[in-house]
Amino acid sequence: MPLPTSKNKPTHNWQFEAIGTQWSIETARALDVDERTAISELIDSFDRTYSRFRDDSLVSSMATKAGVYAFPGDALQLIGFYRELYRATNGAVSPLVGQLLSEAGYDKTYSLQPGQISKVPAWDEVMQWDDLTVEMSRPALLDFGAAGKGYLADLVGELLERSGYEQYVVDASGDIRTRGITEVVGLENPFDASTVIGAVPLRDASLCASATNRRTWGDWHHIVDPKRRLPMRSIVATWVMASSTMVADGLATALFFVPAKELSGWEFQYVRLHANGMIERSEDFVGELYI
Amino acid sequence: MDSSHSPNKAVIGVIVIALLAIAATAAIVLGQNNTSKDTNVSDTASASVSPQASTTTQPTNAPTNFKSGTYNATGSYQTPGGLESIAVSVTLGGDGTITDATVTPEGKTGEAQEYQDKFVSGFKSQVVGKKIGEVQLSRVAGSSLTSGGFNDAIADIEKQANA
Repeated sequence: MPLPTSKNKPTHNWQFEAIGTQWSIETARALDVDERTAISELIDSFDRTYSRFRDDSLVSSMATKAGVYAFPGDALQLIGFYRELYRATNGAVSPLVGQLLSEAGYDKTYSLQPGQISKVPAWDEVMQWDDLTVEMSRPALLDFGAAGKGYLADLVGELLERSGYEQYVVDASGDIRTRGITEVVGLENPFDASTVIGAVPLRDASLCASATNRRTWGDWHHIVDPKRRLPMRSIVATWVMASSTMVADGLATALFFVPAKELSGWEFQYVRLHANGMIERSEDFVGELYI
Repeated sequence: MDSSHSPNKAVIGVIVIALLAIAATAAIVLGQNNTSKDTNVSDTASASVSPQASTTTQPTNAPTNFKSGTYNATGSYQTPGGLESIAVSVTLGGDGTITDATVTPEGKTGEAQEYQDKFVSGFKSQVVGKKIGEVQLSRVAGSSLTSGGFNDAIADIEKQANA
């Protein structure tokens, strides 16, 4: 069955760089100054809470001393999802890998120089969550890279909807949320970025990709196993479609560590590319693969 | 991209071949002991092999005296992460042909489990890909583009390495 072509393509495209990557927001009418300001403020506020790359963030202060820290209201959904992911992956997807990533060289200054890698603590060992507050028994550097960007794409999309946009695409460099239109999204081949391994129509849903061909330095990349304290090598790329961008983003990371059957608590379609070039996909995957 | 794991896969492949051979051998032995039995009886044989043992157990002569049924064997192999094992179940038909074979992972640690799952799922697809221009696409999803800061840092390191 041929793929549909993109319909009702929004004509206005706002592109900018934020939280360390490229963003693109497409809408049927141009976003006005107030709307752009609101989106920028939302992203900046998210960054000031969750970014381990800036000194003035909440996450950075949690890495300096033990104590009780209060998160903003929208954190509840994200933290709850991280807790479920942590359980489903037997601790492999954990916000506590922040210290490991930093020690491996993916730090505030992008030193990219691996040093001594310390043990990653267990969730309950350092964090006691109560609603929006967390008691840190000792300082720890959290990283929300697994699902944070997807969650932010959801927040941006919801803001657009509140402003009356019924047709839009939010593309946070691979974390894509569409409403009211069909986008045909190519699945980038991590072995050769000038090719795609497949394509999938996306409408009123989100698609997130995770791959190890960028954010790579020396022997390291950014998807790391907290138990072995090494980057994952057997999977090189994953794509997940779900109704929520946060869920698609987090599951795309989780599929580096566990097979899809371990994630049966969520509704999603997926494609998983193994290091030997083998492709695995869910039975209900609606796109096509070039195999 | 990464070739450090191909020995692992080779090991699993070798073990499976060895186990199939051993299961077939076990079938012959059992078949010889129970020549009067009906077909479709399930028997179990266990075998434990090392990857090296496999080279001496090639099924070179086609066995003629089979007993149909299901045979199970377990093999283990050494990995940097410790001893891993894999179980193979082979079903033999009345004419001595293998009608079904399944591999069950018993991996205990991290990526070994992953590799075994991959083997078990037995997907046959291999990535080929198409040039981006050949497909009508709205956009492409892969790993996130990195920011200027990260790219500058990489460029810096490359410069130092080449200095």
